[in-house]
Amino acid sequence: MSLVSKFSRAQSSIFTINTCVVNTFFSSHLNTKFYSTESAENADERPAKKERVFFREQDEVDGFKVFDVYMNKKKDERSFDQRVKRTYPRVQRDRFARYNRMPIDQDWTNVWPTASPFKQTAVPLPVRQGFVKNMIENDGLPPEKYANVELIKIPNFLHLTPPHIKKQCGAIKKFCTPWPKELKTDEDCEKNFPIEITTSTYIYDGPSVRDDRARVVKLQIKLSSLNLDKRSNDKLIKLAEDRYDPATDTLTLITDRCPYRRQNEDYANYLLTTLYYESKQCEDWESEITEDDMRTFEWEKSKSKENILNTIRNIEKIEDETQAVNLKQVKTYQNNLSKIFNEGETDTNILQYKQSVLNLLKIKTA
Amino acid sequence: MNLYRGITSKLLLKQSFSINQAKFFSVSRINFNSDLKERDLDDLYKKVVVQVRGHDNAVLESYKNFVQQTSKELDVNLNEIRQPDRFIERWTILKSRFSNRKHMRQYEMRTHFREFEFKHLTGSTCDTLLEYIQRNLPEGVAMHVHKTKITQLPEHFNN
Repeated sequence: MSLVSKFSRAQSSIFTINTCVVNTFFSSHLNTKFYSTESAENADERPAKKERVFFREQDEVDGFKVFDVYMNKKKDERSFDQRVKRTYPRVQRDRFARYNRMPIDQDWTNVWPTASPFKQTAVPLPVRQGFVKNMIENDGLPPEKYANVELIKIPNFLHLTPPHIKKQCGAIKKFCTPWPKELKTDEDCEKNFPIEITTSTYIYDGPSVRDDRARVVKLQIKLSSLNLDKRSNDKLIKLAEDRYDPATDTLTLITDRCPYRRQNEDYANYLLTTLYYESKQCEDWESEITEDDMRTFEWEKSKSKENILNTIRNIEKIEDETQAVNLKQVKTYQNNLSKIFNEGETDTNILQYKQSVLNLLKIKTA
Repeated sequence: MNLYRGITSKLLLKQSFSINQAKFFSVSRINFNSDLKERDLDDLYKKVVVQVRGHDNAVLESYKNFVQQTSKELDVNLNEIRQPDRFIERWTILKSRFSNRKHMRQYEMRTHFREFEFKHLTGSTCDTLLEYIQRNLPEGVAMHVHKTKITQLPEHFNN
């Protein structure tokens, strides 16, 4: 339905309602008037039914009747029927309401200083809220703010308007301090402050302000920032087990065994310290490490190096071992073999490995 | 010993002991002075993630506008605003308390989310900001805050 047709429909409905009201009031009044005048003289006699008169005689100008828009209720004149109950639109009734008396340049922060439920007299906005079933109910419009419970139910932000925020933030800004200029990027932070400690707070409507989850502390650190040598690094990773993520080189310690956050934080720091010193310490039995214990494939200590050197010395007729190691085909073989063990058996890795073996053994393919 | 000193200094910071008591706790006068210097330092937060959750999307949207303007007024780095998918919890139950198996009703509860990611806040800024936005949290809205503090390696990590 277009806006124009909607408007005209609303207009016409208002018009019909008004005329009906006036007509019924008027007719009922006529009858009672009749009773009151004649009843004293002749109470028994029923009054004769008179012809209905709806309006005062209309004025005529140049032979045309003037339609009285105000329904004989002009203010300057006496009403045609004083006992007709008048209905005013809400706007006229609320002429003296608070929201209609507010100056337009008022400071809203003084009108609505803090959070409070919606109060229709204090809000100079034509807000509507609610549900209408169809176009007939309430002219298809949501109910207006007067006596509207829906507007009280929903949390309002009338205490958090832009002027409010500006005023309040201006007052609390003195408690803020600027971020150090030296730490512009995340990399700078990581370099100078390697340890990251994450804690959480939980706020919700509940019987208690405390939450069990708030005690959990997560400590993260990049292992590269600990500057450990290779052996200690490997030992730390072995000790940390699944707490170490090789993809990001991050050690994550989550502590939740103590009842308070501070205790958990201290415990996380203690764990990190212990891990660090334990991995730095070299025990006697650590020299007995075998290929199976190693985290990654290491060419220098592997059996494969030994075998290849024997073979290549026979092929190339070289006595010197270092010379054999520095051969180009041996180097390529070493790289490709390590790739297969450390990165996995992908198609390219397998192909490269095959090629390097063929080169090494001097096998010619068709 | 360092750890002990650290804990002592934290105790001092939290409970504001008088100097006489503090002397009693600390190992020596000199150590105590160095701790005093430490405790003047403010925390540094690399990332603060604030997640608000509520049943009314419109309220969260208004709250988002509020947080946006607040961070602008306080000169805080609001890095990102995310809107995770809503979560719907459904119950399909009998309409009647018992019997009438053919008549079922389905109830559901929807939770909407907004996530604000602040970056690079000092401890005092973070406290101020959180205090302000938490005090103005609308009714029926919950908030989870995840703060990531950055610290240096302790002294006993000699490298």
